[in-house]
Formats: sequence, structure tokens, C-alpha cells
Amino acid sequence: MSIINIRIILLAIVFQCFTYSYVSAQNNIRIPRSSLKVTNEGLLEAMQNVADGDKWVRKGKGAIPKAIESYKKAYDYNNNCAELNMKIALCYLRSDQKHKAIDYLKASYNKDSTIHKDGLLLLGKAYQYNLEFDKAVEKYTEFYKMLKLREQKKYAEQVFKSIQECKTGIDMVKKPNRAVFINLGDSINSSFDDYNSLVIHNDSMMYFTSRRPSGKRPRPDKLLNMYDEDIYVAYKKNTDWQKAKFLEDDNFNTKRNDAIVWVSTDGNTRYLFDGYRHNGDILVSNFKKGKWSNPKKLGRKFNTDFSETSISVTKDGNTIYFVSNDQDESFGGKDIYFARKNKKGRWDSPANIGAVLNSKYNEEAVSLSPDGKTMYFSSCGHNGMGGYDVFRSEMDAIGNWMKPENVGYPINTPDDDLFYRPTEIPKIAYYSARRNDTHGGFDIYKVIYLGEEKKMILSTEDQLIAYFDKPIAEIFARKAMPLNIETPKVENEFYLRGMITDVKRKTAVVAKIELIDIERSQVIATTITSETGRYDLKIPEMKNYGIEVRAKDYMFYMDIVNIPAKPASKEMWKSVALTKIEVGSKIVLKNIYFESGKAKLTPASSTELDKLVTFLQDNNEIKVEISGHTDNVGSAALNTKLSGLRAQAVVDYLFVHSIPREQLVSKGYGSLQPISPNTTSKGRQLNRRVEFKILSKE
Amino acid sequence: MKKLTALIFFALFSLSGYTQTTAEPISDATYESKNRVKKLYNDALQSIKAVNYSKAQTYLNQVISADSGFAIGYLERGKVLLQLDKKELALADFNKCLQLNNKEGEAYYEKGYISFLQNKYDDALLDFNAAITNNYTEPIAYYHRGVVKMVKEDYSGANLDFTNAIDKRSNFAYAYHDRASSKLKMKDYAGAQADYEKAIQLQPKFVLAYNNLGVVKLEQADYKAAIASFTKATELNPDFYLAFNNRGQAYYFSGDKQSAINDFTKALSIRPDYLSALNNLGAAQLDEKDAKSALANFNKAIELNSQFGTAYVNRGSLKESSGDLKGAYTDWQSAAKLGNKQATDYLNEYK
Repeated sequence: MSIINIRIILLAIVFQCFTYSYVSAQNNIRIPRSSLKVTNEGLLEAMQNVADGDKWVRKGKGAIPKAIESYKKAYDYNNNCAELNMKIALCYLRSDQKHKAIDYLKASYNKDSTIHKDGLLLLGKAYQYNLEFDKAVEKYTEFYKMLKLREQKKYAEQVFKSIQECKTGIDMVKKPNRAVFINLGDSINSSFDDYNSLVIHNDSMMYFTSRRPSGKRPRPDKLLNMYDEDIYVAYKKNTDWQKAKFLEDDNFNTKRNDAIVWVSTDGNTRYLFDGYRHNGDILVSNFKKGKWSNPKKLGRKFNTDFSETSISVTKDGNTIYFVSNDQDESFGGKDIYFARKNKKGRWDSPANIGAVLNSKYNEEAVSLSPDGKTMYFSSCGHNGMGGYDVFRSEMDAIGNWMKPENVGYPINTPDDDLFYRPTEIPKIAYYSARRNDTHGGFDIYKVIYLGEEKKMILSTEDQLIAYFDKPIAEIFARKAMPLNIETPKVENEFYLRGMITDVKRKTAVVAKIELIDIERSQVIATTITSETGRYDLKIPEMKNYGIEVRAKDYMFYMDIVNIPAKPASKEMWKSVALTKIEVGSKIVLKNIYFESGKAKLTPASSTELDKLVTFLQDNNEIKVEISGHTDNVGSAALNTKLSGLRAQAVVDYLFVHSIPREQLVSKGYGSLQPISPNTTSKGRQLNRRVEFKILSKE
Repeated sequence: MKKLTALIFFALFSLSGYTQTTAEPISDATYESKNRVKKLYNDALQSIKAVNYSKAQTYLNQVISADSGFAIGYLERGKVLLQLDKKELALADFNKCLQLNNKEGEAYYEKGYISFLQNKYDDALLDFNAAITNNYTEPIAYYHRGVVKMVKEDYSGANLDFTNAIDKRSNFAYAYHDRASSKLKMKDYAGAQADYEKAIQLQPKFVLAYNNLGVVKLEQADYKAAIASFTKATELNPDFYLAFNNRGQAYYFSGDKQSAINDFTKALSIRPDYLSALNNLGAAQLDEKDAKSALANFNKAIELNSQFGTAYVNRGSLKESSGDLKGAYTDWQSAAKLGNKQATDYLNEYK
């Protein structure tokens, strides 16, 4: 085997976890002319396109996009050819867009299920890549059940592993990491594989490996049709990575394959991968006295005849972790090994790190956290969801590495996820993957872990205090008591006398009469009429008084009695005709006052209104109409409106004072119902009134 | 000596507010003068009753001119001046009244009310306390003291005052309403609901009571009932942006983000600088994956009021989710400086 072939295989292994050989599968498919033919026209051209596609496939992985392009031309001629659909599907499974294989696999299988014996297995894999785990499991199971017993043994491990990966995938997708992935963009990534970022100096400088064309080897290799690895370096300016540059140093970027695999925290030691020595060795170079030393083999203890492909060194430089496929000690495939410096400063012999971290499948891309307490690595084993997944293991108090945990979706996918590099900045890491927004092949991504999911916070503006909505003030909450003016005493007795009668029947009514000192708002004398309806009240002082008359089944009566200062006789008559409480009865509510031209009651109205409240509470079986009336001055429409509003204001007052609204009706009549001619000011005054009328009595 | 006796007599007479009797013989001139002051005072009260405050002020000016030691004259004139929105003059009269009679509870109340209007809540509370201690126990005095206690976040104290106001006036809708609010603050949701409902029973068009009843339901996660109550408030007052904002929240928490967006937008159409609605609209838009609009609304809220911590927190969360950790950190720091605890918690996640 040539040196070139060894190198290619070694490097390819890193990026190929799934053991299925799409290459051999592809090469075995022939398209008979009869199968491709639809019409004669275009057939030859289509066959040529298929031949071109086959040619590109043979050129290797790097030529797969061109193979797809050629096959697609033939597909335009006949999209129902089972073999052609299978060829396209297999190309996609080797590409960056693996999920696109699904439709072609389905078309191929539906047309002819015998085209590829592993058709269902491949369809399962395509579904798995597309995160359609349930469908993938279904296809894997279907595939396995169709196998003969002998073949089942051959495929069992692969199928069961794939099913387990799907189950892991289902769990992982349900609990995704809160992280954002930032493709580092054109400055870092190219349309070729870019990977293994090594960030130092507080996230300001980065080395990485790229398979983009370089000046030193401008042509791709002949087997995989891919360019050699080269080392690139980039610097960050402010928050942005500047355009990565080819590391111009013949000691590091030679004419052959050159990859950087680790850099010490201080940036003064570089570790390189040399695929040309002993199946792959690690080299080391130190920066001393202003220049880099020639890379030298790390040492025989580390570099065996097997392949050593990645390495991570603790900050103090005393422990090395590396990956080797040393067949003698391996648990299977590539494993992680470690070695420590002894007291003499020499390296002890490396040892396999053990079965806790190493699985029977490949481990790769080992990387320590800056504090050396956490190890990240990629593995095809453990509880992965497909391809290489990134795992994390913590070191316990006595220095043992604990059971690794899958770092979860969406960092890990069913495809290969590698070179996870934590940084000195918490919650920030870099890694390499083929995500949907790749520039081509592997791209380098910055991973930013977010904290707990932040629920949006809604803001509320309280308005819990009614006052601040509509201020109320009761400046005259407590009415000041009028002062008693010392009037001359009544030298001779003076009486207020009168008859209380029914207004309709003219018969005597037994009633209670109260004499009220208006200035003090106090009842100063009370009497009951005789059977004849007569009453006598002794007047203590010669001034004005209020009089209130109440009788059972009659509407209340209030008025002011003007006692003359110098009466002509010893008595004054005040007879009252009471209105019976019956439907249709009405009275004018005296002493109801409004602000001029408005429907706002003044405080002076409260005495009369409170009497009305008491009356309605005592006679809660009646329903009343409160009507407003005006004189005939001004617009009839405005008068009607104002009278209605005033009547409503009275109703509102009564309601607020606990009279049920059902007991009340308001109406404005304007000037339609005068009780006096509007020709005099006194007549107009009388017409401006509020009336109270009984509508019903239950 | 005679002069001293006369002064003492005058002082007693003045302080009495004409309510005390004296054994001293009163001359006809004094008798007439006294009656004249009384009559002027009574005329002033009649003018007040007739809502003619200017006339009342004229009478009371004459009262005080005739007798500068007439304490209740100052009190009533102060009340009239307050009604005429002459607060400083009114305050001077209340102070004069108290200088003449430091037991005049009503003067303390009015003085406290002026402090209350001027947002001097500590002063107001002292005066309302003095008013009630000095037997001015009108429902309004308890009510206003309750309001001050609410403002000072003494919810149990406020609750007691509103209860006293209600005991003295059983149909005091505002007192029921505000007592409900004190209960809401103390998380007595059943009590709050009952009081808001009573307030609504007393004043069926009590928009604020419907709104706050909705808030109670929102607190209890009864979004359906909350939406119904806020809807009633908006029906009664279609310009009540607060209720639209609150209903938007009820929709938001019930999962109907589109209706929430509609309501927040409606609130903003009524009051474009309404910060809460701007913030809430942004929040709902972000949940609906419209990060661009959400960011614009958070920005606008912060632009309108750079002290609006919640908008900083949410904008920070938006930036975090897009990977702009530096931006998120800056916003959370701004919010934390404004005392927002949530922002501090978020910052701690990245320490």
C-alpha cells in the first residue's frame, strides 16, 4: 500500500463512523438500457450522463456533488428508473445533504425492491439523518425481519445499534439544549472541510485544519478527490474573526498533508498530525527564543505503529490524553489513552483510559476543558444518536473519569459531530459539523449555551384605587351647623295649627307632624293629629321652620312655614292635603336643586331626597316615575334633554342610596306639562320642577 | 388688670366659636355684634348650600373681618376656598383655624386632603390621623386615610379604614372598591371578588371595578372569567386602554397570543405611549416568532422611558435567544441597575 493510500484511509476514518460502505454499494449497481429507456430520443444522452456520474463516483468523495449533477441530468430524462434513483440516493448519503436521499430511496424501492438488497436499511438511515426516528426504526425493523437467519446474524449489531441510536435521538430531540450555533462564516469556513478549531488567548486566536485548495498542493488527491489538510490561523478583531490565513511556515504547512491537533493554553506548543509516519503520529513543536522548533515526534511511548490521531494536554503539561487505534489494548476501534509525567519529569507509559470512556466503537477528538476537570470527546458508541456524537465526562474527586454523558441535541445529530472545544469563556465552545447552513463539508461553529429559557415578562399598570380614576372629595362632608341667633323670646304663646286631609276625599287623616329647626336640622316638636285631622304645635321662636307630615298609606309632605316676626294673632294656620299612595298619584318634589343649566344635584337637595329614600324604603312595593319638567324658555329639544337628565340624576341618587333600579323610572317632559302659566317668572319657577308619580303598586 | 380681663374674655369668647355661654353680662352692642357675625356665618352656610361659593366666601370674609378669632369661620372659608381650587389660601385658613382651636378635627382632615392632593402622603396621613383622633369620623375621612395607606402599601391598615368607611356609609361604592383592592394586594381573592361585586352592585357602570375584578380572575388564572370582566369594562368605556391591556394579558396567559396582540395593539391605538402595552405587545410578538416587531416595541418602550426595567429584561431575553449575549448582558445590567430582580437572576446565570 502506498504512503498516499495509508494517509487517505487514516484521515477518512475520522469522518466516517457508519461502517456501511456506500462506495461498494454504488459500484455494484448497473443500469440496463431497458430500465433507463423511455424513448429513443435522449436515451443515449441519459446513458452518457449515468456513465459520467459513475465516473465521478469512482473519483472519490470529493467528486460526489458532480456525480449528483450528472445523475440528475439522466433523472430529467427518466425519473422512474429504480437503479438511477438508487444511485442518486447513495450519492446523497455520502454528501452534506443526506436527508435528500429519502425520496430517491423510496422511489427506487417502490419501483423495484430488489435493486439494492439493503434498500430498507438505507432508507432507515436516511430517515435517521432527517431526525424522523420513528420511521427509521420502522424501516430498520422491516429490513431485519425480511432477512434470512444467516443474514440477520450479519446485520444484527448494525441494525440494533441503529435502532438504539434512534431511540436515543427521540429522547434527545425532546430535550434540546438551549444553544445557538453561529457558523463562523466566510472568514473561517470554506466550501471544503474545515474543522478542529483550537482557540487560545481568551478567544482571540484560532488555529484550525482545512481541506481547501492551497498553493502548495493545488490539485486534489486521486483516490478521494479531496485536497490535503493544511493549517490555518485566524485572529479576532473586536468581536469578528478576520479572514483566516494559510500558516506560512514550511515546518508546519509542508507540501504534504498537515493538520494541527492541539495547542497549549499559552500558545507556545503546537501538536501536529503526521499521517505519513507509522500509520499516523503526533508531532510537537515549541516556541522558544522567538521561533518555532522543527516539529518532532512526540515520543515512541505515544507514537506506536498504530494510528495516533488526536491529543489533548493539561494546562500544566503533565498529563496527555490521546487517541490511538492500538489493537493490543483497544476496547474496539480507536480509544482514548493517557500518560502522566513522573516525579523525574519523564512520561510514564501510556495506558488505555478504560471502559468507562472507551466503547467498542471509535472514540476520537479528545479535548480537555481549560481547568482539566472535564473531558469532551466524540464517539460512535455509548448512547449516541448516530455517527460521531460529542460526549462529556467529569473528573471525580479522586481523579477518575465518570460515565460520559451525551452533550445532547442539537449539538449532536445523527451525522458526525466532532472536535468539540470548550473555551475559557463559560458557555462558549467551538465544534465542527455539517449543519444545514454549511458552506460545504465540515464547518466550524461557535456554540453559545443559553441559560434557562426566559419567559417573557408582561407588565401591568395597576389602577386599584378608585379615587385615582375619578377623584371624589367631600369638602362639605359634615355640614356646618347654623348658629343660633338669639332672637327675642315669644312673650305670648304662638301656635301653628291646621287640618290634615285626604286631597281627593277631603276626609280627615291621622298623621304625624314634625316641626324642624331648619338652621339646626333638628326636629324640635312632634305631634299627632286628632281624629278630626287637627293639629296644634307651639312655636318657640318667631322664625321660619320646616314642617314634615307623614301618614300611613299617604305620600309624604315637606314644606317651609314662614312665621312672621310680628304676628297679628296668636296662631297661624297651615293645612295640608295629603295624596294617597295609589297608582297615578303624584307630587312635586320641593327643595330639589340643580346647578344652573346642568343636571348636577347640589348638596342642598339631600334633605328632600333622603326623605324620598326613606319613603321608598318604607313602601318598597310601589314603582315610581321621577319626571323632570322645565319652563318654556329656550329650545324644546334642549329642555326635554335637560329635564330627562335631571330626572335621571334623581334616580341615580336614589339607586346609590339602595333603592332598587326596578322600582324607578325616569322621564323628561321638558315644557310639555306646565302646572302654571309660563308668562310670569313665578309661574316659570313653579314649572321648573321634579315630580314623583306612582306607576304601580303590587 | 381690666385690660387683661378683657383679653381673657375675648380669647374665651373667640375659642368658643360662640357655643359657650358666659355669665358675664353682655352689652346690647356686643349682643348685636355677636348676632351680626352669627347671621353672616349662617348666610354663608346658606350660600354654600345653594352652591354659591363666591357669595359664601364674601360672607365669610366679613365674618372673619368682624371677628378674627372665629375659628370655624376660617374652617368654612378654607372649605369654600378649596372648592374654588385655591389650595394655598385654603391651607392657610385651616392652619389658622387649628391655631385658634387645635381640637378642630375637620380642619385636620381638610389640611390632610390638601397634602393628599399634593402627593404628600406622609403629611396627609398625619393629618388624617389627627382628624379622626379629634372626632372627625366621617366616612370620607376613613376613606381618604385608607387610600393613603394603600399608596404607602399598608394594605391591612387600608382595609380597616375602608371597613370603617363602609360601616358608616353602607352604600359607599368607592370604599367597597378600594377595600377589594386592599384584599387583592393581600391575595384574599375571594374577599376582593365579593367587594368588587358589591361595588358594581352599587354602581353598575363602575368601569374600574369590572377591570379590577378581571385582575382578580387573572390572578386566579381564571382567564375566561377575567376576559369577560375586562370585556365588560371595555364595553362600558371603549377608550379604557388599561382594560384592553389587561384582557390582552388574559388572552396571552390562556395561550391565545393572536388575540393578545390584538388587544395590546388596541390599547396602543388609544394611548400610543402606553409602556405596558408596548412591552406586552413585544412579548407576545416574540412568542409568535416575530422577533423583529418585538424588538421594535421593546426599543420604543425604552426610548419613551429609559427607566422601564421590564422592557430591558425582555429585550435582553430576545437578544439572548438570538445569540447576542453581549447585548443581552447589557440590557439585563440596565434592568438590574433599575432594581429588577429578574435581571439580576439572569445575569447570575452567566457568571
